Amino acid sequence: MHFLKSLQELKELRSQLHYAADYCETTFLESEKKRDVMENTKEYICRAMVTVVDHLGNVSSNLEGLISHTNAFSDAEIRIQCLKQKLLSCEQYADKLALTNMQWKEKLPRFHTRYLSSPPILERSRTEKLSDSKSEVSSKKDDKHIQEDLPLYMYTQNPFTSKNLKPATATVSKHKNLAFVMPVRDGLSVLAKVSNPTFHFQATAKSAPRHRRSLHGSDVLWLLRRSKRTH
Amino acid sequence: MARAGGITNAVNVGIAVQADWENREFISHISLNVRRLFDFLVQFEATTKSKLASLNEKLDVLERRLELLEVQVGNASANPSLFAT
Repeated sequence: MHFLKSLQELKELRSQLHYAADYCETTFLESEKKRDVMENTKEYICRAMVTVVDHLGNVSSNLEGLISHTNAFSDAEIRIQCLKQKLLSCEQYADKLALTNMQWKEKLPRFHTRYLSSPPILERSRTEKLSDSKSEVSSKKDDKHIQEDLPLYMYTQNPFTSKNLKPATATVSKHKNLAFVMPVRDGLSVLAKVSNPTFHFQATAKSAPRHRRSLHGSDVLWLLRRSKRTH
Repeated sequence: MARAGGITNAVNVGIAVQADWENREFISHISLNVRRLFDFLVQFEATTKSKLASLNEKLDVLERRLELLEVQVGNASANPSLFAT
């Protein structure tokens, strides 16, 4: 505001000086006492010079004040730096969150129990049982001892179903240990759901006890018939 | 009488010459002050231009930083899943 006001006063002073110069010229030409007119003109020129310098100083000081007193720039710079720091902290927080999500997941991948290989101790006991028919009783005891260590869900499965299992792919057939499939003894794998419904191992496992039950029933009938004949 | 008239003429010429020299001295003083004033105005223009140029540069830097911040904030707001727990 001060700069504009002083600049307007300087512009008005220019018109006043032009008007005063014209007045002095006409007065000097028309007047008879030219010496007095010249002295007055000299005095007026000195005062005009002082006035012009004063106005110019005022205008320049106002403009200098406007240019130098620019605290708004520093304030804006400080605010921008603050915003930059905030964004940097947000990015670091987002990176930290992403890293924690990558390191630990609440839903761990669960695999079905049938797709995991059995421990080598159990496999050896079964092979001994199959190979040596004389030591059948001792092997049954070993199996019972092993089954006692196993959890409850193990009793629902037939331990000889591994004989019916066949490797589905060539890669599985290369690894002989994978042919014998056994559940794992952890609690999490029990809760796992069957992801692939195309497998039918359970159906083959269930078919063997049914066949046994039919055989068992025929034996009972044969014993009843024999007892009738004897009577 | 002729001598007196010649002396007065000489005095008048001397007075006129002195007045002329005084007027020349006054004009030289005024012109010198006007030149000083002009030099001051030229120097003031140069310093004002340089200060305005530095201010313009600062404004450009601030504008660029603001644009960068706007882009970064836009990216962060466009992907809020980064901040979701």
